[in-house]
Amino acid sequence: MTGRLEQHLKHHFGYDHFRTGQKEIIEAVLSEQNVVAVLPTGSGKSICYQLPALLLKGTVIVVSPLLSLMTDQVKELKAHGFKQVAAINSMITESEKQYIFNRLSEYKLLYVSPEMLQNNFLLKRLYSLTIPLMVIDEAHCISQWGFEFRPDYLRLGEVHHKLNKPTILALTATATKEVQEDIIQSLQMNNCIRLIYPMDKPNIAFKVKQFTERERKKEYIISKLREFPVPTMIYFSSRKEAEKIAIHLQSELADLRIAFYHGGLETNDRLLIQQQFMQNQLDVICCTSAFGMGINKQDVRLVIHYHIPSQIESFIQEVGRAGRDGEESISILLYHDMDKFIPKRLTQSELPDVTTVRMVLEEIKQNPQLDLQEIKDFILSLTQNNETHWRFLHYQVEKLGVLDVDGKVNHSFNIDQSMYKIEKTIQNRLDQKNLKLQEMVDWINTKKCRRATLFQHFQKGYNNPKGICCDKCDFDWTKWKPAKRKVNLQLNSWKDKLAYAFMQENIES
Amino acid sequence: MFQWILLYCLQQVQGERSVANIYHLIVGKKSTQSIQDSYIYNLSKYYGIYRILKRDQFEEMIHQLIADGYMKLDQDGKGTLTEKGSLYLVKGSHLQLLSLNGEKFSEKAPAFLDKLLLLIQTMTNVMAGQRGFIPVIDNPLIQREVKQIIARHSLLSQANFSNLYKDLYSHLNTIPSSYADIFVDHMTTYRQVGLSKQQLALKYQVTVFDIHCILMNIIHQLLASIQQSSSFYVLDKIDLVHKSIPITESAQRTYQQLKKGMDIEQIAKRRGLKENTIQDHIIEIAYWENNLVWSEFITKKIYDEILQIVNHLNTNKLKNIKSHLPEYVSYFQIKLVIALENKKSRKEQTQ
Repeated sequence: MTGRLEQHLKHHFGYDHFRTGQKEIIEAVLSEQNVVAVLPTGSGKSICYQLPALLLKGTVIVVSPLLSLMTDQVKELKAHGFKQVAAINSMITESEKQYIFNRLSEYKLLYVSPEMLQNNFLLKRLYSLTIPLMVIDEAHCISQWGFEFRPDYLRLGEVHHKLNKPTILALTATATKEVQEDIIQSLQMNNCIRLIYPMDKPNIAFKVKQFTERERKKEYIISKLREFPVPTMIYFSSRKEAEKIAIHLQSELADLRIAFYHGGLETNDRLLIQQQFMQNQLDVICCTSAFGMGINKQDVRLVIHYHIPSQIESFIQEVGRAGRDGEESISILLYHDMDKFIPKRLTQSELPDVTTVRMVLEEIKQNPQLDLQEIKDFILSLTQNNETHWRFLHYQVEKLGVLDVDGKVNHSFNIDQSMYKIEKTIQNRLDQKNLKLQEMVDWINTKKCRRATLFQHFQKGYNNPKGICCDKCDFDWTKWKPAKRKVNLQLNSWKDKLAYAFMQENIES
Repeated sequence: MFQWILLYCLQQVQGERSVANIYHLIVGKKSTQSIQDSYIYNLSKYYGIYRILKRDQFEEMIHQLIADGYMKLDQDGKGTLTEKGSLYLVKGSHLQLLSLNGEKFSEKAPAFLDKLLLLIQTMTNVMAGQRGFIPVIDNPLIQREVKQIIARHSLLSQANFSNLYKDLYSHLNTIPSSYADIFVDHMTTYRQVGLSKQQLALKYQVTVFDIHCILMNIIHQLLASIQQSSSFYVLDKIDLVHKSIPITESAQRTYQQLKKGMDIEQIAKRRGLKENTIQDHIIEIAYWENNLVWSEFITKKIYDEILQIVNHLNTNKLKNIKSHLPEYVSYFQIKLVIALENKKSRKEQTQ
């Protein structure tokens, strides 16, 4: 056996060695063991199912809630010559969907969004396939205690059952003990093994910089980037702010190439920015959390949080994008006391308010002939197309029996009782999220070592830092010596650029 | 320049249409009203030039124009130019994008641009020996089409690679060099990832909307030269198949049925549509088709009566026109005459 997996790894992906955890997970999965694996961001989670997909007979199914990550991975695999792969989600067109549905059995790897797994037509087609492995990516979404609970994930247990119980690989980058238990329970993963790998990275140093005036954050960033012009990601909690600061930074730092990225950009523009960053055509990217999923850049040296994330889990994931190549990198969080109200507001907007809930219930009560699509349209029109609200309410009305499993209205439901229960759920959820936010704020205000406190809920202990540890221990900018960045050739006229792109003549730089 | 175009549209509709109608025209809504408006007000050049413009972006722009004192908005959502606005139109007439031809090209231009960008990325990469790359155009339909184009014309050769270069060079050489700069910076090649629209806007000190319009202007002009001459080697292979007709699919069916000799009532019954709808289809057809037989819908006498009033009043306001005509003349007949006359005058202009 030894060496065979390495040969496949080399042959299909071009790597010489497995990274921590990959081999154990792959071996377990190939011997039909159910696995819950916690692997930190950027440690190559996807190899853990992509390689088995190439080796196993039949179609490996990957359930993932991250639509753009799915498409990115499909693109990357295709670019590397692994063509029997497809993604089914709400982003693909009807004709594309038909194309894939007609060829299901030809795929070795099929990414499916959890919403699509509610599609009975698709499910029926899937039942007839040979499925050796079902992968649940971002498995923490299954847990009500998880920070990204997704109602759709709760139905996966049932789907798994109907698919004749293939081997399960539940993957996540962040899961506390309770969340792991939840995953195992709701997927009924009997005899599973847990493979948990530490998420701390010894090459990342932590610093929190407190401000009494928010305006000062910009100047601070400018002075640091002037001193350290390295590949940098700056996280914001609002699109507008990311744009504004990016433009400001660019005007102050003419030598650096700076851009912004968020979910509001056109698809083509998003692709361009991502690739520029990958190819070192950009130095600094001002982004929202929409950026980074599936970005596989190795040499990000600096991750700055301009605003605080709403929970430690997101912070760890975002910081984890620094220093994938193992070189010393730095995380700085910029904090002003009022900043904590921003995630509070965001949290509130993630859940529907009481009036909306009541209007939805009344609409359903008055028009029991409504079908699921009509109810969805009604909710979306009421919430300015807020998909999160729709998913939440859909799950709630189903759970409370307002709708039965086929999406038909149950005539005898009681508005007030249902109201009461949903309101309570919303309140619980808000309390839960505020607790998460408080953990984040506590970490900012801690007097102890940041490395020790950041990971305490997720793992026992941590690795010794490779260089600097944190601002509570030994942080000192002068100790940091990142490599110089690369700058590409600059040309001016379009004629030169076109000739250069088409390799028409030798251009002197 | 997009701002200029908006104000120009506003001027052309002379307060007879709301700004929402202008939005529909710009995004190329396939409705009888928008198609009609584009002809009546001589705006077919701008029809559909910005298909991906979002409603809130448009509204924000209108608010900005009002805030800057270029226009005013009344309660019905109709806009009028202020003096400052009219002056800006005159002074900024260099800002109109002369090569736009929305009526003819707006439907295929965005896909054409995508195909062109992907073709450039593919050919420069493959020629540099780089077979694996992430396509800058995500749309699988575009990807498949480009693959087919490459295969059908065996484009992956050194000769065709040079030909693509020559084609691009000669086209870009005919347009203002600032536009050529923008296009070349937008291209993704083996050597570089293209700049996004946002980045182009920052670099060239215009708005994102302007960048979009400039790219469309480049493509419309390219499509026009492809149609006129055969001096291209590669670019004329990108799009030959589709000939787009600027009328709704439903109207096209109506036209087929008319040609089979069915009348309005029969068509409506057969397809479960209202007669009004079929009449709207006929108006659409009238704007576009040279040989529509109209004698079934209107007598020569009524035709002339309507024409006289329309010319006399010099307006496109239907209510106004109708009130000057006998009771038995229908709105449909008035609209039909306006459409047929418009088509006639456009035909004369091009001859």
